[in-house]
Amino acid sequence: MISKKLKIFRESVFKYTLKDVEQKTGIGQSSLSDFENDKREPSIHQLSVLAKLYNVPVSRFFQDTDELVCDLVLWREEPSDTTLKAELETKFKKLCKQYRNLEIWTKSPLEKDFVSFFLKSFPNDEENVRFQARNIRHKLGLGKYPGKSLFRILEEKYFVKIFNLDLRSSSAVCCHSNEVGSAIALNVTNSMYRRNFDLAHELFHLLTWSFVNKQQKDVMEEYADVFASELLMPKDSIMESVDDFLRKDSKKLSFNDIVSISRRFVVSIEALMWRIRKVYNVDFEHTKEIIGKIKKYACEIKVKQNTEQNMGGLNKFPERYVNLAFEALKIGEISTKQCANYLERNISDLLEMNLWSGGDSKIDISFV
Amino acid sequence: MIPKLTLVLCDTCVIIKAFRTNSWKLLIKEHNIVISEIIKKETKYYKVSGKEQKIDLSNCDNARCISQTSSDLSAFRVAFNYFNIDKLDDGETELLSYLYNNKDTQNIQICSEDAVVFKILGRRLESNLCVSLEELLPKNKKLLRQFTKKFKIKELQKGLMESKELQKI
Repeated sequence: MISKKLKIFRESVFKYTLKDVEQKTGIGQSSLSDFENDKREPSIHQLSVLAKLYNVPVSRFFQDTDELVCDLVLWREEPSDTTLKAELETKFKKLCKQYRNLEIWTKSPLEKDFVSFFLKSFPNDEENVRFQARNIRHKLGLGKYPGKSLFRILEEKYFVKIFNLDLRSSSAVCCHSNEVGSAIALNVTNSMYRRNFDLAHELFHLLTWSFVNKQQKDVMEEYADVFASELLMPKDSIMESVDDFLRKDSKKLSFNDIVSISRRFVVSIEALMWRIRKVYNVDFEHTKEIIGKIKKYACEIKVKQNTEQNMGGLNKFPERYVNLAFEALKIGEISTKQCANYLERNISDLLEMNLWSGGDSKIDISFV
Repeated sequence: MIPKLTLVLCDTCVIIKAFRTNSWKLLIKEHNIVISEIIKKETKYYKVSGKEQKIDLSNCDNARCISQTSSDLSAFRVAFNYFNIDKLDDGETELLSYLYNNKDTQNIQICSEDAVVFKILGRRLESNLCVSLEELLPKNKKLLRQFTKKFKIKELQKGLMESKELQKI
């Protein structure tokens, strides 16, 4: 029933008062109360406004069963504000559902193969985690510098849904369900290097999804970091890179050498230093000291990384998601306005693109 | 041109196109134009070469505004039990809901540029319930492909083919 669902979203999911919803939507408290108590029915317009507030499609209010869209969402750092957490989670779930809709409407492949990588047993120690990381690196075909290919391979080959969102103070979030597949959201305000490491970290959580509620969170987080480090920075590649830069006379690496190596692996300098510590068995305190010195140059690093980020033209939506949206529009599986909604663009922008100008001529490719 | 007795429901893209081609006043003069409450509140501007041009539908005395209740939408969803309304924007859903809840009592058509809308109607063998913008305007108006009668017919036929395939299953 619509009334029941409206009340659940307001009270249980978002923890809004009637006054909060009134302020956010312009719908009066007495009207809202009447809707929730089945005394009056809302118009479609009012439902549309409420649906936007709760980050669900209007159809959600009409569904007989409680549809579980990524019921469990795993945060790297869970927002302490419950309302903010609800807003970000429902937004993420909505995008996941929209992505899955586009896959279905365009009859595009779903991520069947990726699920086959999920671990059947939880790693029992750090060495086992590293073993799994090497194994996955090989299975995914990430190559010598996994950081350069991880995002592309997960998104384009295995159809993992990867978004770049403003997660405020959280760095990443992930979820998995049969309904929408596997999805990760990275914090768009973080540097490319940080996001890459977070991607590998969240990958561990996806691969161990069936154990999420069975293991201690701090163990999961520690293992996820170990996994990410091992995955992104193969030992042989690290040693080879260090040898490339090591000055033969002094056996030292300069700060710029460290920066160059970190870029090769597309990881932060700090992540690289901890990996070097592991590979070369460098003293913990010495590593900390070096990282401390590196952080003194933080401003310079941040400027460089931000420049690269801006030049990279970071998009909220994965390229595949955008392509599927336009494909769905062209084959008549979504309206122009709804396509604009899915891409969070103004309808005029899409109309200006003149998407239909090419007609629907097909190119047949013959394989000899 | 279609008879003036017919109500013509216009979706957002049609309204924007009409404004862009300076055809809106002609449309509301020559036809009984109907817009939905959602579309009226959400259609604020269109762009020309990146610049926003205001659309003010608040005082459209000659364009009727309709709204639907959740019961109306519920009845519409039952009638469309195989169609996923998530494929449409809420404003478009409101128009289609009005169309289906009133088609037996009024002369009514929907003017759209969306292939998905034409396909739905083609699937249901109800091509008489839709019209392209091209058919509402004088012949000298040049329009993009998706606003043409030819496009409408093509998508209706696709819907019809899909209906035949569904029947085979």
